[in-house]
Amino acid sequence: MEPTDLSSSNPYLLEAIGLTKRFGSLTANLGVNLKVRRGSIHAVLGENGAGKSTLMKMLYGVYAPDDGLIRMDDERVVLHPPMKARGKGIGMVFQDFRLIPAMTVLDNVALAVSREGWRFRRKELRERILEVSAKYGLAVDPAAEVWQLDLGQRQRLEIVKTLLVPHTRLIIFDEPTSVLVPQEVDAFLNMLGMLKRDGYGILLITHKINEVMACADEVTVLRGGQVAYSARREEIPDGDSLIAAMMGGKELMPISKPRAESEAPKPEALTLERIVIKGDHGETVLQEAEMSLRAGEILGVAGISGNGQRELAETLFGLRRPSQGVLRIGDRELQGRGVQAFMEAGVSFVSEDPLKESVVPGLSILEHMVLDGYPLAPKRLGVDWARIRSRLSASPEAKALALADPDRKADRLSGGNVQRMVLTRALVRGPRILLVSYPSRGLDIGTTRTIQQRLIALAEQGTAVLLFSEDLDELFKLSDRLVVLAGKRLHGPFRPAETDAAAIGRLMLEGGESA
Amino acid sequence: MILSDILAGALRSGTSVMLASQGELLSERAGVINLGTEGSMLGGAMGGFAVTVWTGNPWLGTLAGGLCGLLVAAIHAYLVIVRKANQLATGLTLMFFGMGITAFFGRSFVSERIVGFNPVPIPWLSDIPFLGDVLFRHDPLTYLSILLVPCLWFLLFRTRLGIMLRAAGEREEVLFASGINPKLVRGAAVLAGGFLAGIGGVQLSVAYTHSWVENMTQGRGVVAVALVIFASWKPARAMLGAYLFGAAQALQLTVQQQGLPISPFFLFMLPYLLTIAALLLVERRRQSSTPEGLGRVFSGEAGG
Repeated sequence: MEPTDLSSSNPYLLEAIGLTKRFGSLTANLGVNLKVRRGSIHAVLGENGAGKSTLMKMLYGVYAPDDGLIRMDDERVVLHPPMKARGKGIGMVFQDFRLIPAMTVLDNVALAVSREGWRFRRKELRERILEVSAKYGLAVDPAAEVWQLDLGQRQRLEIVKTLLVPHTRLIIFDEPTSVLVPQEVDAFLNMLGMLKRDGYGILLITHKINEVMACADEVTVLRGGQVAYSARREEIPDGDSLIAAMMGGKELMPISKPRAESEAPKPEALTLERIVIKGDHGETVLQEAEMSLRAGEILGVAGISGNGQRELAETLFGLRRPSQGVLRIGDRELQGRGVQAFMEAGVSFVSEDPLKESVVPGLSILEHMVLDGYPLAPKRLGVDWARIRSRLSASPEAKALALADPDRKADRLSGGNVQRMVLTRALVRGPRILLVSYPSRGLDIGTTRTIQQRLIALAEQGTAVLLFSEDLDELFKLSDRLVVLAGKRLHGPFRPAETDAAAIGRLMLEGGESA
Repeated sequence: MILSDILAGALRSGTSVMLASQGELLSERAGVINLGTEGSMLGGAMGGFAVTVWTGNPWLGTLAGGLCGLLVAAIHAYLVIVRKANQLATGLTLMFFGMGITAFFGRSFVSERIVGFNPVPIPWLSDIPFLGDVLFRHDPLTYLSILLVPCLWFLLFRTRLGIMLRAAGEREEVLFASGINPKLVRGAAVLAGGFLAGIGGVQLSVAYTHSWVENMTQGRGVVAVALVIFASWKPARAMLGAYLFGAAQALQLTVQQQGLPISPFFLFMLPYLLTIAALLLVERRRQSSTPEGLGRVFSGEAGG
């Protein structure tokens, strides 16, 4: 399973020269050069929209470049479509995994790996899976069904799958650590080191400077579709120079959180008493949860994704009914009531998968706002859309979050712009309670900071914020108190000052296993 | 003995539904709902009967019936997969198209009689008391259909083809990403499903009743579609459901023969009523096992 042909004298596995890709009037990549050595880790950094994904998709054959060429083994190669890229030994571990939840690990691997014949050797494949997972510390159970796996396990499966595809020698990782807890990140970086020693070439797309500094041999920073900076690890003075290269001239807004620890506790905005929540398959996802969220605080909910975050958030917004227990907002009991009651009580909700759950493809941003209850402006018998538009554009929330043109259709927006829209929509309601899941997912550093600052400001104005996140950095920076979802229970609350990321990370992992 | 009569009857009259439901199961596992199964069955029943009349050979009839079923399914596959038409609307249309066209071409066969398939007692096994009567005195198609179920299970869950087929029904983009054309897989599954439904129809006309009557399937194809859902897309459970339906049919016939004072219309309704009851009982469990891509249209674009 180790990469073949180490004999060649060319140290580069892949050389991309002057790659250019245009989508209509937009130039996503312009004259990008990138070389990946065998047995090395090459990190590609860049903000949202810097062209990282486009570049990777060209290297994995999803897009054909408009200009420029790609060489492997001193020969010009065509990688489009992905089948050809795979044939040349390029594998990609996507952020949103290419797995089928209803099938087993073994079946998923078989789908990707076996090529010929109508049968495949189950036993042999099973052994190869176990062999690779033992070798690189990628524990997966071949018999498990994928929907039962958490994101870390799914990622390990994706990697195993890629390694088992014959002749793989270059692996592209798309934001691999965004779904992992600190301990898993360590294990992941460790595994990257092993792959590197075995001669694999690795392309690592990431936002996280410290990981780049920890493991990369070479770094390329993209900005505006072009290479803004490129260097070997030993030439890079520190992480800040990378941030500077990514941001260009823009200034990074610092996060400042005033802590008013001494103040008397504010009134409780949302209380859970012995709440039991069931999941989509009728299984219990949360047992006897107790929680209280006070006005003016940010309560962080940590946990490996898939441990009941979605179900809990849906319950708190009336989308899902708790099977037992008391859910109080202010002093009203709302368990068993519908979404309308929760909205009237001042709850706003940003779901964990806005693309799927909060976006109607054909409607514009403006129409989304109105659909969610943004007040209309009458004009005779009709609606004064121009006035709504200018009122929306003028609102501080839209300005702060750099909302895209309100007339753009939501299905034409990038992930980051959808996130901006959904957040703006939740904020313009002036919520008393804000439930927000993964606010910075898919956003660049600049926007992330803006949003985080916005959440802090909101809490200062008295809004109770419940923040679901996997990013422990973010949780520690923003939260007044932290709870951990693991093993079907809510642990905590903890004060960020009195604990640390490693302890919370351990609870996230082990809470899941002891249950 | 009445119980063994009813159980044997369950197999005899349930086999046609069972074959159709296994076909529909293939199709739905690959992501295509085919309400045209009724049309495929009718096509199979009529075509199989006609060829048996002409050649006197029921095996040729079976082949022809299967092909007729496949032909109807091919229309469905073309419209739904290539033309991206709505699956439910297309299926319903094909159901009525099947009724019409078989009635039209079948007119001259209504009074025909054939030898067709007849029960073949299996030596020794058929002499076992009770079990022998229930299981081992059937026509060849019934035996074959029983063997088909474990084969289908093996195909779906133990072979690469099966994984491809299920992947087509769950997430086509994953299948596409691994270099296989989901449309081909879906199309093949729909055609195979139509072939099986056609043979189901043959069993009805050539082996069970030895006659052709206009619209003789009487909704069995639709029942087959319902059974697939009842069975959570599992072949063995679909077989069980089909025999349940068959048992209700046999019970109804037995009761009518006994001359009990129950309205024949009520009795006629019984099998369908039972199917509804079965659906009600299992409806809650359905959600989690539905193939994710069932009924969805694949755009053919490589996502992400």
